[in-house]
Amino acid sequence: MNNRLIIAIDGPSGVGKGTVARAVAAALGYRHVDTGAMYRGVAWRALQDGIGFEDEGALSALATRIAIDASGRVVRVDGVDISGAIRNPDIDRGAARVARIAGVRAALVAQQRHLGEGGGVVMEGRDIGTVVFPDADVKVYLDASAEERARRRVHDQTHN
Amino acid sequence: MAKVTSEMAARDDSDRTRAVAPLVVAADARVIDTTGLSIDEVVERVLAMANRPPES
Repeated sequence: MNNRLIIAIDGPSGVGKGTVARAVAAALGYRHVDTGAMYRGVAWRALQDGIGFEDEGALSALATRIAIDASGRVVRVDGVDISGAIRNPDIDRGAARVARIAGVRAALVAQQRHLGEGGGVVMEGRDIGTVVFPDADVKVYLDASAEERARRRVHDQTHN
Repeated sequence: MAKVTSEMAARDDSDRTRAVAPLVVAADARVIDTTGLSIDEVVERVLAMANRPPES
């Protein structure tokens, strides 16, 4: 078996992407990357630094400058563990705002491609199979009914 | 619950309609409807795909 695949897992919130991606990565001995957490990391740092979510230039520069590690059990921005600080409604809204900015996406997509170089990675998000790795070896799109997704979201607030 | 549903619908709408990298299904992606499936069942399906990736 080829041990260096790139596995892309996309889908909306509440479909269990994180749980599934972690389990698949563990079973294969691959690295797991949560790209949604990277956008949350940019939003968190913007709030810390007092950068407004309308300031596209500053947010793009921020996304290029900071070091975000979302490939382990914890999420770190410039070495600070922010795992617990990025799962709340303020960050939900902020992440949606920064994810609309082309400069932010360009910076994070470049980091994500670097993380996936050489394969052996399970990457979850919303644009992995379409933008980050259009040539991924395995592309999965997880979906579920709106009712099921809302129920899961209520039962597990760590879901992204 | 109603609040979560409406917030999630708003986020979905934001994801699908944004100008940059909207949430869309890749033409060659396998769609798995996880409604009614356990986590283990979904993981098994993904692992089966990884063990035998579709010819591209």
